[in-house]
Parts: sequence; C-alpha cells; structure tokens
Amino acid sequence: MKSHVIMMRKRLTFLATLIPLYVFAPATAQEESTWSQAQIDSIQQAQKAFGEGRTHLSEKILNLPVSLALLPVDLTGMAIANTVGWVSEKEIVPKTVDLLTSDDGTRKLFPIYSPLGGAGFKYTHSQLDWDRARLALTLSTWAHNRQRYRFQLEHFSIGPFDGDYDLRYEFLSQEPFYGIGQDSRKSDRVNYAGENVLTELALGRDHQRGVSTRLFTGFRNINVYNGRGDAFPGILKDADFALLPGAESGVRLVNFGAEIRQDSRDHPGRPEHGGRHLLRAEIFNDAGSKGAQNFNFYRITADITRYWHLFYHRSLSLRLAGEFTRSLDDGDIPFYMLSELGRGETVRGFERGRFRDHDLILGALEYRYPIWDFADLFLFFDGGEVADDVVADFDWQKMVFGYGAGVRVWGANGEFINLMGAFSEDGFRFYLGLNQELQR
Amino acid sequence: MNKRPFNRPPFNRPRIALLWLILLFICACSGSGAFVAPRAVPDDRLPVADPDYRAINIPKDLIEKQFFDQLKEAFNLPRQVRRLSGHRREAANLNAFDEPVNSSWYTRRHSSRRMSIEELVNGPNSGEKGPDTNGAWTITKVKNEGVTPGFNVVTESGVGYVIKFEPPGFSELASGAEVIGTKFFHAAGFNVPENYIVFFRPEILRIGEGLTFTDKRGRERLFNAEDLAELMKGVEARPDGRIRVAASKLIPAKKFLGPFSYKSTRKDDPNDFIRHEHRRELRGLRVMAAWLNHYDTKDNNTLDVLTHQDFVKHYLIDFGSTMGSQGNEPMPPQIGYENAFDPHQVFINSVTLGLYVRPWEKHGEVIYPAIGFFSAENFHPQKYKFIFPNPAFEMMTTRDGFWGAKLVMAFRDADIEAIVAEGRYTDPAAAAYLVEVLKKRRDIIGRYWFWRANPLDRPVLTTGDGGQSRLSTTDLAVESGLAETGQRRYRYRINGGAWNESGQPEAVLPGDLLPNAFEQVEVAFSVKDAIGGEWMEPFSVFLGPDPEGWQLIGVRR
Repeated sequence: MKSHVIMMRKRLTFLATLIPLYVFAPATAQEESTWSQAQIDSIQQAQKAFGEGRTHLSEKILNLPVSLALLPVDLTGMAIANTVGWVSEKEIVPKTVDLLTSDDGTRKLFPIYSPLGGAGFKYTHSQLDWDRARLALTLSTWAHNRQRYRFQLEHFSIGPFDGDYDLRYEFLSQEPFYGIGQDSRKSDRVNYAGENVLTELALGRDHQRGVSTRLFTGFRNINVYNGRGDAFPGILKDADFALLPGAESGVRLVNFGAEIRQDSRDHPGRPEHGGRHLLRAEIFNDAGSKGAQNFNFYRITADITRYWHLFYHRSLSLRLAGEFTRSLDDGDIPFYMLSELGRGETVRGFERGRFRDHDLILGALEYRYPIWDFADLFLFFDGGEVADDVVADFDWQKMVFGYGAGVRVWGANGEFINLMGAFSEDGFRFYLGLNQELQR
Repeated sequence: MNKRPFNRPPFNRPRIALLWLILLFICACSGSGAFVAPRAVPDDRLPVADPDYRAINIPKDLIEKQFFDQLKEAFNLPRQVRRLSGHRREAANLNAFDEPVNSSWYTRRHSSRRMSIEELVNGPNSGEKGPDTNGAWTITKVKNEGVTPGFNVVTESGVGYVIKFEPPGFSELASGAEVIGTKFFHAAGFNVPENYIVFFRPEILRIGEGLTFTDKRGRERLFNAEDLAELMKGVEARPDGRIRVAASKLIPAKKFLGPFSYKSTRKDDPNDFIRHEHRRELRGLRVMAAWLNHYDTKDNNTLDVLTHQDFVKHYLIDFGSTMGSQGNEPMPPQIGYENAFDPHQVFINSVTLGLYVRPWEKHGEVIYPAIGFFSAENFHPQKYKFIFPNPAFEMMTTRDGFWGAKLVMAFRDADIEAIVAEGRYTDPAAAAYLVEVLKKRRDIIGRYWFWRANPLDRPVLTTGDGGQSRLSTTDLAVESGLAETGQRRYRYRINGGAWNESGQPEAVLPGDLLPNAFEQVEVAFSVKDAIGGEWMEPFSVFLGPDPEGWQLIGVRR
C-alpha cells in the first residue's frame, strides 16, 4: 500500500513537471512577432498566475513583526532619503551655488563654522580688475548674539608688494576667563563679552622656496562687558577681575609688526611631507584708551610644524610653538591679549582661554591616516604650559596635556570638516570646524 | 466553565518564538526530492499601454541602498534563515536547465551558442559603421558639465547619436572602454546600444536651430559659434586634425522611459511580473561586471524604452566607465575594493589605526594612458564591490554566480583579442596589456566559480548503434583550460544507486533501464581533482520518457 502511494506521488509529480514545459511555448527573441488576442489573453493570465510576487508577499508577512519593530528606523530612512532626493531633484544646492558663485571660480561661497565665531558664510570674489586682488566677506553668528563680520581685500598690488587689508567687527558674547597663570582653577570661571573692531593693513612679498615676508600695522578698539547668560558670573561683577588690565571698555591699540613664513608642505590641503614655519614679532601701543591704564607691549611668536610621510599616506606631524608677551616701559597688557592655552589650535581638551599668561609653549604630535577617499582619522597628543616667564619658570610638573582623536574631511578647498574629541584633566571636549582654514 | 487564568495569554513568548522558528524553517527548507520543472516563464513582450518616464534620483538611491536597505536586509528573518540554512532564494526566471529564458531583458547568446568572431565584433550593430563623417552633424543637445563635453547630434541621414569626447591627456581611454564593453555585454546576452569609435573633423559640426544650453554661470541661453569654439578648446585633436570620439546611436524607440531599478518591478508595465532582484541575468551580471570592472552599475546606467512593438525593453548603457576608464580619467585604484562610501571599510580602516594597508593602496601607476588603471592583481570575483550595494547582486546565489561565470568563461582568448581590437588602440602594447588583464581576470573567475559549484554542464543524451543510451556532460573547467582531463575524476549514479567512477563526465544508461511512461530518471554526476580533490556536490540530470526512448527534462544543481 505504501509503495503504491509513493509510486502515485512520483507519477503525479512527473506529470506536473511536464505540464508547464508544453503549455507555454518557450519565449523567443522574435520581437517582430505579432500576437493574436487569444495568445495575449493566455500569456497575460500566465503572467498573473506566475506567482513570483506571492512568494515575496509571503516573506513580507512572515517578517511583519520585525518590520513593525523596525518601522521607526524605516520611516527615518525614508524621510532622510526623500529629503535628500527632494533637495537633489529640486537642485537646491547647485541653484544656490549657481546664484552666488560661478564655474570659472571668480565667485565662491563657503559655509563656515568654528567654536569661536559660530556658523556663517564666507563669500569671495576674485575678478576685481585689479591684478590678483580678491574680495572676501565673512559673516557668522551663534547663540547669545555672538557675531563676526569681516571684510578682506587680499593680494592687491602696491608697487612690488602684495597687499592685504582686513576690517573686522566681532562680538564674542560669552568668553571664559579663569584667571592668570597655570594654576588657575576650572571652578574660577567667569564670563566676559568682548567687542572688537579691528583694521589691519599688511604688505608683503613672496620669495623662493615658499618663503614670504610681511610688514603689517593695525588699529583695534576693544570693549569688555559681562558675558551673556547666567551659567557663570560676569567678569565685571567680580571685584578681583574688575581691576584686570583691559577689563574696562574703550581699549584702543595700534600695532606694528613683521613676520616671516615658510611653507614647504607637499600638498597644502593634506600634507605628508615638508613643513610650515612662522616667526612673527609685533608691538602694541596705546592709542588713547579711555581708562587709566596705558598699554604698551610686544609679542613674539614662533610656530613650527613638520610633516613626515610614514607609509601609504600615513603621516606624522610635530608642532612646536612658543609665544612671548612682554610689557614695554612698564606698560600694561590687556588680559585678552595674553598668551592663551585651551583653544582647538593649542592644547585640545580644555575650554578656550583656560590658561592665560605672558608666555606660552606647546607641542603637538599627530598621527594621521586615511579612512576614506576624502577623510583622514588622526590621533593626537598635545602638551603645553603658560607662565609669566616660561624660560625662568618652566616646570614639567605644571604642564597640561590633552589627547584624543578626530576626523578631517577634505574638500576641493582643503580641509572641509574637522571633528575632534579630546580628553584632558578638565574632562572631555568635542570640537567641530567647517572650512576653518578659510577663517584664518 | 474552564477559564483561562487572566495573566496567561494563549500564546506566551516562548511559544510565539517557537511558532516563528517553525514557520521560518518551513520557509527555508523548500525544494528537494523529485524533479519539478520550474514554472514556465511567460513571455514578457506583450504590447502594453504607454508607460511613464521614470527618473531615479542618485543621492536618494545611494542613501537607500548603502544604508537603509542593508539594515532592512539584515533584519529580514526569512532571508537570513534561508541564508544561514544554505537555501537562498533562487532566481525566478529560469527554465528547466537552469538558464534564464529569453525576454525583454536578455537573450541567450555566446554562452549558449558560440558566436563567430564576426558576430562578436559586430555586437549590436545594425549594419552601419557609425555616423557618416562625410556629411554635417547637427548638434541638438549640449552637455558641458563635467570634465569632458558631449553632444547629441543628428547626421545628414537623420540618425541621432550621442557623442562623447575623450578626457584631455587620455585619448582612446573612454571610447575604447565604451566600445569594448558594449561588445562583451552584448555577446553575454544583454541589450546594449550601438556604440562606435569615430574620427571626425570639427568643421562638420553645425549648431541646431534654436539650440540652448546652460552656460558656466548657470544661465540658459542660445548656443552660439563662440560657445562651440570654447567647448572644443578642451578637446584633443589628432595630428591630422581629426577628433576621436565614442558615438552612441540613439536606441530606436517610441519613447524613453528612464532607467530601470535593480529591485522591485515597474508598476506601469504588466510584463514586468518578476522582481528585478530575482532575475537571473541581473544577479549573474555581477560576475560579468566584476570581470570588466564595470563598477558603476547603478540604476542610472540602465535604460528602459518603449519599443515600436509597444513593449518595454531593458538596456544596459554607458560603458565608458569600465575596465581602466572612469570616463573622464583613469579608474582610481580603489575601484572594485570599496563602495563609493563604504561604512564597513571606513570602520575597518578606523579601528586598525592605519596599520592595515588596503590591497589597492599598493597598486602601481597607470602603464598605458589609453587603457587607464586596470589590473588583475588582487582581483577577487566575489569580493569585488560596486559603486553601492546592488540589490540584484546582493541576492546572487551560487547557481547565479556559476551562471555568471559561464558567461565570462565563454570568451576564449581569440574572442577577447578580437573584441579588444575593436578598441582601435594606437599602441599595440596597450591592446596586448588589456587582453592579458582580461584573460587573467577571466581565469580567476573560472577558478573561483568552477571549483565552488560543480562545473559539469550541457548534458547531451545520445543513443549508440547498439541502442545503448549515453548521457554525457561537459566539464567547463577542462573546456576552459583551467584543468586537464587527466587530472580529473568523475563519477555518476542513477536514481540514487551506487556511484560508478568514470574517466569521462558521462554515464552509460543500463539496458534494463526502460522508459516508463510515468517515471523520471535522475543521473547525478560528480567531479573532483585527481590529486587532493574532494567530490563536489552532484549535478543531476533528469530524464523523462520520450516516444523514442528518453529525453532530457531538466537539471538540478
């Protein structure tokens, strides 16, 4: 009985095997053929009965609980994809870029962001019918009414020199101040708001081997107020700080200086070899400040960065920098003009302005390696110290250190995005920069 | 009355989980036992009502396919169970011999019936030799974005072509790739446009009446002679003043319908009743595309057209970014190793702190500018990555891959040499280099797939003089020169009986195996390398009764 059933089953299976082989003629490549209505009806029925879609549907039903659980992710994905699709379809980005820039490179618009200035745009126009001259306008803003506006006229010719003119207004509404010296405590923070108007003219020349020299002079007017927000006390409310040099409004300074730079980096956007060297000296004189104090000082800056190619686009860089700010004729130095440790460009992991004093030294070691066509990951270790006289007072024990990692995303104009996370004795800090190189 | 406790539902969590597991197991473990021919695939070339043009948004497509489709796929339990149990869903458009049926997508060509060298080099060409360069070409459309310009032109005889110029400094790069790629994909069975290499003098260009274009400042305006001169400044001319271009003949169609998608179906085409990711030719295309370094296999490099017979025909287009060419420059060395944005690779690169040197980072320079960057070094057919994950490629099973390998291995040395000659490279060494790389990559594909899936194929049933039937197959590994007959061992068995070893991939059917009107016979073949090999999974050929004896009714891999 059992074998009979098996035999029947096999036979029926075989018959079922043969049916589809003969019911439909095998598809051919005869595109020119014309179909009779009967053929069309038969094939349409076969198409509907084919059932491939039903298998898909059954799998979907089977997976329904998981699909429901993933619904929020799915909806988010759809929303993101559709938004990107809509932006792309409507050509919003190219239309905006087209509106404000040109393909020949004469007009460009860049989005910018830095922790100091906030978010905004930089616009450049390079066809001014004046040699290589370029006009640049920068606008940025952020919370607590932080604002920065900048007008630059770059690379205009005056005789054999290249000239740069810079006019800047900035209102930095919530700057931290922790006191003077390496021993300042995190808990001593007060806030101040700095309102600066700055104008500067520089004349320089490019020489061989990436060397350039510049002479510059400028004027600045600085007002200091209590910082915005209630999170920290205002600087003028604290009796100790209210007497700080520069804490009163209406500080006016003129400055004169000279600098020499050398840039031997192989790819300035993404260097693996060469270096960047800067030596700068400038003198600041009081130009009729409103308060009783008389500001006279000078500052010398040396900053050296070297890059070494290790292997396959992995590179190592070492930066050593020092800044020395000294009084002239017993003049005063406004506290915000002192050397400062704590910004993303100094020892990372500390709040901006965390340590201030007359002198500063710092070192930064960075290992960089590519993780994508347009992105590098880097690991860094920074160390630095501020002191009244760093040569006489330098103390290894007082040095502060920061370490962490970050990602640099490269665009056509060099570094586009810079994301960093850094640890220090003050905790963890996160940094974001967008087209930061363009803001210097 | 028997009341259920309030806090005890009829199906608690473990039971529901068990139920799901059973369902998934049932779903996963389908198919085996007696041979059942796949459901015959109906023709898909019936006349249809006017379908709409459909655009595919590339950024949206990238985000969906690179991120969210991957996530959804990872949590698609039926598929994951199938994957883990080794029963991945096979393609849906197959005949009993594991081949895709001819359709509006695909026509079996070189791998099924060897094409002559003339047929191979002629490819899809309809007897013309490209646009006539003796008469004027009227420009009807201008493409001025990107590095290389391009035009749509109409010849004096009224035929339309898309003209693509070479990137500066790399004459022959893109046009060579375009034409060679076209011939290979056509011979493999895909629908492709007619592409030609043409040399023309710029004097024959005429500006079409009222032709507008978008200038560099983004303004739409009339295209004039100065614009043409400006555009042609960036184009490299040969010493005799002629310019080499790739000319792609506009596909004859009632209407262009935009690209097809590698997943789902086209809702306004009733003929499109098989989800695209389950089409054998699209899954197997992965092997072909990897061979030819056709990295850019996104939807936008395909085209649906409504033919004059009123059905939708599906084309692969734009082969200028294949082999060593990226269209406007040589192919970057990372192509094939990473998706355009590859989160997995970015993660690996990040956590290994740069100590892991990716294989492509060690690649050398471009040797022949006409060829660009194309190498067989480190090529792995299964690890090859495309611009972003392709849903059809992701669904590829071993059977699909084996079928794709058959397409590739069908190209013998002479075939490759003849097709590469169509690239009309000035430097014979460049052409020889390209041939060499293609051969090496082809053999790597063969060695991978023909040792992963049983390479016995093409069963033939013959009856000798004595009335004895013999069922022979072809060992594709031997046929393609990757293995030698003397180094192979074969065996077969009939209807699950004892294995019989044989020096040839063939079976002799015993005289007492008489055809029975309701029976089918399974002849299973296996193969191994004589030294150190293991018997491969059997390749089964099924026979059914025929008025004159037996006939082949299908195969199972």
